[in-house]
Amino acid sequence: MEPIVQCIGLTKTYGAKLALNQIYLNLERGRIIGLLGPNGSGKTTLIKLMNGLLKPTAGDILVGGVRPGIETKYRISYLPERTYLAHDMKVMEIVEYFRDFYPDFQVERAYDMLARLQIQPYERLKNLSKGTKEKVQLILVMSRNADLYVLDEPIAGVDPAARDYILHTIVSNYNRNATVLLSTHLIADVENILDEVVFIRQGHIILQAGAEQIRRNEGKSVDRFFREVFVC
Amino acid sequence: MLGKLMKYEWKATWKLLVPAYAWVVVSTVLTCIAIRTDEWSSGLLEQAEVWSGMFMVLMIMLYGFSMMAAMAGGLIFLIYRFYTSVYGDQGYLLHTLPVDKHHIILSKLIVSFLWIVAGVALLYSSLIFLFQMEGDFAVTFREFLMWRQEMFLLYDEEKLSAFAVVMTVIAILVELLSKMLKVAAAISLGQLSANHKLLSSIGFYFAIHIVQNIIRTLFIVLLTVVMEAVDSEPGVVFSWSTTLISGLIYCVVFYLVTWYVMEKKLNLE
Repeated sequence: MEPIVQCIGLTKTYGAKLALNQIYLNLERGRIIGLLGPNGSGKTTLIKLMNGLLKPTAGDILVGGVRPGIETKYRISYLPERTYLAHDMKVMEIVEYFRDFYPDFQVERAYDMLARLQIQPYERLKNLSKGTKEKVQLILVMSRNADLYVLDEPIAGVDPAARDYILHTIVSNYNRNATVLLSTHLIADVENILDEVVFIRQGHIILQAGAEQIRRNEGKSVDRFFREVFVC
Repeated sequence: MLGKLMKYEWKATWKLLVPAYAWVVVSTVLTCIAIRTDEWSSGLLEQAEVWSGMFMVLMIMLYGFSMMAAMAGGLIFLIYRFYTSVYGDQGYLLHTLPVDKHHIILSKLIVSFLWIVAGVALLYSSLIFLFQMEGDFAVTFREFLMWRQEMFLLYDEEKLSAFAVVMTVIAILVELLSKMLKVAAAISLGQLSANHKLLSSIGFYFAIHIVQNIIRTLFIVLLTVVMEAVDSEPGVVFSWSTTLISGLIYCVVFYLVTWYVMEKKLNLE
């Protein structure tokens, strides 16, 4: 089966700074993949390229066999590392917004998750804490039946108790034929749900392997292995 | 999708602009009452005259401030809204919606255009209501157009036929659209800079403005020379048609620049 994401000699520069350097990468379907690397390694740049928020300097990136565009936006459910919702909107208005634009958005699923997290639909976003805003965004993203979920630092801004719920939400809500690409540097928290990991450093992919394969071959956890590879 | 985008653009803008425009109406009525009170109080007690006079001055000042705040504030809000929703954090959502970039531009352009036209109409109605200008609305509107025509260097006022009035209105609206698209293009071009995107946008705006002025000056000089050569009146040529044609050309150019940056050079860093 064709990979959900293909990077072919993908390069991105910001002025003179090289963010991604000649990346060749295939991401298969039906996997939970951790995109792991230290700050400034190129994780967010790669994710933005997948979503069409940046244009490649050279090379190509394909999602489901096509370049990022309207068609791929129907298939990708993207959680950025920042709050991208209008602060003066109510939670229920944002749910309506997603329902209007994404045909695969499941309203019942969204309200069910909101109720479980005791988030009131009539609350305005500006009245919610930073962590709750992140939960709202994650709920919206995970309420879609997408082919590819791209989650940029989904657990960075929330407390450890909420992290467990978020990871549970991810695992229990994604479509089994879909791929979840999860960018983080909090590896210990996500390790147990990952099928595969991609290590990225200074714009280069330095490793792509199964999580279980790393544990078996290296005799240590992915978190421990990551610390050794990226030792300062 | 254009309809849905416009729906949310309307929802995002009405919360601030409807109260602003409502305040224009309220301040107009209050100022009108103040002026009338001053007229009625003349001949009454001296103290009443003084107080009503002060009240009138205060209300006229408040009216002027309200007008400026509502119109300038509304304009700044629309520009700020475009900047933050397209190239700010909210752009991460907007540009990951499965919608055409043309629809994004058109939704913002149409909604902002309607708000500005409504604001100008409100301002104009308010001034007429307040100062009770001579004649009926149609006459004063005609005077307004005459004044605009003078700005277009139309010397021959008799040429302001019904057709010319309609075309002048269209030319003014197209000119407004081109100015709005100029702001959108300047903001978009500013995003191409690696740093200081906002400053770059402002720089691009003034650069475009200067280039437009140079083109206009060259055009006037060239046309004057040609008209003198054929012994004709240059003012006749500088009518609504010049504004309309140049406005349409600028609309197309600025629209394409905005679209090109969004479609081909988007860089949400």
